[in-house]
Parts: sequence; C-alpha cells; structure tokens
Amino acid sequence: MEERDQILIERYLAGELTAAERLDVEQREKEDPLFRQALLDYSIARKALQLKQREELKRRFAERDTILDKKKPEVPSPGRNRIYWIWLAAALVIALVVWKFLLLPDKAGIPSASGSNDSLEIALPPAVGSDTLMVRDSGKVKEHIPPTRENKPDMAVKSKKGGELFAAYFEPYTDAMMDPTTRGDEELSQLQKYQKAYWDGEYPKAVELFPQLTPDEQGNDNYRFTYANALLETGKTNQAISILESIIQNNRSRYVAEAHFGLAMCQLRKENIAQANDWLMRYVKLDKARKKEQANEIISKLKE
Amino acid sequence: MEAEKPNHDLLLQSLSDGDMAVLDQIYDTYRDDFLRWSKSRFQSADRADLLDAWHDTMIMFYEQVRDRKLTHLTCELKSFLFLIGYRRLIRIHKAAEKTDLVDELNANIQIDESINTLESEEMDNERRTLLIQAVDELPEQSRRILMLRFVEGKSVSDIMETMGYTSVNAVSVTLSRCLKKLKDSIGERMVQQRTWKKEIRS
Repeated sequence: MEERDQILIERYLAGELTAAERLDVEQREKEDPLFRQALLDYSIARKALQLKQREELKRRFAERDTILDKKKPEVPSPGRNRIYWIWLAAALVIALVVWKFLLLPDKAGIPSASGSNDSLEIALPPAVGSDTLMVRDSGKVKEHIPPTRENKPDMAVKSKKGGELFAAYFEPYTDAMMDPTTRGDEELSQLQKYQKAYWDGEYPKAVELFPQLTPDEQGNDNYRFTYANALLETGKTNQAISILESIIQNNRSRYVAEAHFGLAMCQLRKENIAQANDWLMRYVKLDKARKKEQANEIISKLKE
Repeated sequence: MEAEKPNHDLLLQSLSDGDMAVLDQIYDTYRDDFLRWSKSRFQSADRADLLDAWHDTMIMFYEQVRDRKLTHLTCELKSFLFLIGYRRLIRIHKAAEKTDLVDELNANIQIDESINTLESEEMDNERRTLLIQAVDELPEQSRRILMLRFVEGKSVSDIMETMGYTSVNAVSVTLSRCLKKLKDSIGERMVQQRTWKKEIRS
C-alpha cells in the first residue's frame, strides 16, 4: 500500500478527514478491494486499542471497588437492627435537646453546614482560601487547615516590594478536588503519594515525587499546576514560570485561570512589578478566577 | 439547581482533558446508590451483575465524554448515569422490567442511543483476547502513542508535546510504524488461530 493511502487511513481512523476526503475514502472502499482490506485491517487494530482501554478501565473500577468495600462500616445483623435504630433515635433526641438548650443561644446567627450524606451532587469545590476543609480519612474526620495569609507576616501593608507581597499573598493552591484522602489510603500509587505530599503541605517531597510519575501523569496540566505551585513554594521560581506559562498556552486544565495568579506571584517574587501587575490585571478579568479579591488588593498595593 | 449544571459541564471538560481522578470521584460518589437503586428493581440480580452493569455504565459514560460526544448535561449527572445503567441491566437480563420512574426519566432525558451499546460486546471472547494480547505485546511506548492518537483522539502536535518528541514528523512516522506493526501482528495471530482451528477439526 502506498504511504499516501496509509496516512489517509490513519487520519480517517483519527476522525480528522474533511467531508470531501471522507467521501473519497468511502468511494475507494467500494471500488478498490486492496484499499478496502487495508481499511478493515487498520480498523481492527484501532478496535484492539479501544478494547485494551476498556480492559484497563474495568481493572481500574475493580480496584476502586476493593477500596470502597474496605471503607464500608460493618452492617449490623438483622437481630440487632431494631435496637440499633432505637439507640440512634434516642441519641438524636438527646443531641437535639442539648443543642436547643445549651448551644443554640451562643450559635444564633451562624449558618449550619449544608448538605446531607445522601446528597449526590458533584460540584467543583470552591477554592480554599482561609476556610477550613473537613477531610475524610478512612472514615474518621480531621481538620485540614491550609496555610492562611494570617500565618504569614503582614508586611504588604508596610511595603510594596514584590518579595514581601509574595510572602503575604502566596500560598500553594488547594481545593477539595485535590484531596487524595477520599481515594483510599492503602497501597498508594506514585500519583497518590504525590497528591498526598502536596495536600499535606510537604512541598519539597512533592517536588521530589513529581518526576517519578508516569509520562502521561507528568503531561497532565492539572497535576503540572500543583507541581508549579510546589516549585514556587520551594524557591524554584523559573521552573514554575515555565510550567504555568505552558498551562495557559495549552488551555486544557481546569486551573488555567489560577495559573495567571501563579504567574503574578512568580513575578512578584522576582521583583518584576510591572509584569506581576500585568498578570494580575489579566487574572481579575477571567470569569473562573477564584482569588479576585486578593488580586485586587495586590493591584491596589502595587499602586501605593 | 440551574446553577449547578455548569459545574457538571466543568467535570465533563476535566474528564475529557484526561483528568481520570474525576472519573474515580464520579464512580465512588454514585456507585453504592446505583447498587441500591438497581437492586430494588432487579431483585433477582446478584451484586456481581449489578457491579458489572455499573462498570459498563461508567465505561460508556467515559467513552462518550472522551470522544467529546457528551460535553453538556441537560439533567443531573446521577439521573443520566442511572438511566444508562438501567437500560444496560434491561439489555443484560433481557427483562421488560420497565417502571414508571424509568418511563419518566426516558421522557425527560435525551440520551444518544449509541451510548447504550458497547460496540464490541457481540465479539466473542476468543477474538477479544486475541486483539488485546496483540496490544499487550507492543512496547510500552508504542502502546502509549497509539492510545493517545486513536483512542483518546489527541492531535499529532499534542502528542509531540506530551511525549517529548522533537518534531511532528517524528510523531507521524512513529505512529505509522506502530500502527502497521499492530495491524500485522493481529493479522498473523488471526491466521494462526484459523490454522489451529482447522487442525483441531481434522
């Protein structure tokens, strides 16, 4: 078969042909037995690849089943079921009474946490600023307190030097989508180890682990975004800049907007005030920007 | 309620960009509810059957998102997945256990019918194994580049960037070579299988 035909078939299989080229392929399929056979053979090869991916997905889901089933609490036996519910109801009544008489006056005006365990809504989580996230870990609940601006020296008020604004405003980006603890805590893959190190704030470890991920994972712009944050936190500003710029250029990550903020932080650290201001001005115009308030604060401090 | 739909679309976008953690999260979030919901409608089905149906549902969902046939949801993600799963169970069990609820879902949710068929499900196990083995025997790098191009639909320039090739031409040449190798390997295996079957018969 001619090389030209093979390229045509490859583009056909990749779904990249124009309408006219498709017609040409269909016509030749009818008229040219050799071309028809080649097209069939290559289509079978593509089918083999699709089957392979399905097999990998099934294996992936079976692994998730193992993790999910291990996490399940022990189900009470039928005989104990009724007693269990009676105790639960009694505990609820006592809790309500305690809440009403002891806690309510102090807590008036504070909105309660929304959402029930049965809620099946998946929504992209809001950015974590100074909020406290409740992190699930093997059925237990612990508090994840990301580093807040208040933990850092408030030097921005006194000076508008880039490095000081960086110190005051930069914290590696986190949101609940990055929480690795919801995905099982046994036999961690390299990716999970990396995600855990990042989530736990062990940024030097995260920087060390990232190059050990598979090439696919290292090419994923969502993971690269966290890597860039870890690099910036550990002082590798130039590397962070190069990654963040490529994330914006690729435009395929859910963190494209936040990459603008990250670049502004990089430029602040390098004392490139004009460039930092430029990235911040672009950032605040983006719909998906989650730290607009902080960005506007920095912009106004840069003007002082 | 309306405000939440764009978030689902963002999830679809992340998944179509290759963020498999999103798939895991969707899988985990809805699995147990699907098992309970489907068990109440297919009481004769055991847990393994229901899990199989859930796996197939998630594969069908993923493939539609991956191929960018599904980029926007007009209903809740949960309803969408459960309807696919339910149709899948009906297909597997060949049962006419339709309920009013499913009639209602059918009326309100438009799903491309192609989502409810796994194209290769009619293929016999022997042929499926042969094809998968041929892929398994490719070198890791060849398998990856072919997957990216012909399954995940990445462009040649995307592959160049992802896999660190120095030129588009290098990617194209490698792709052609690897695809031809896979095609030839499948062809040889099919011939061997036919010969083997003939020997058994004689």
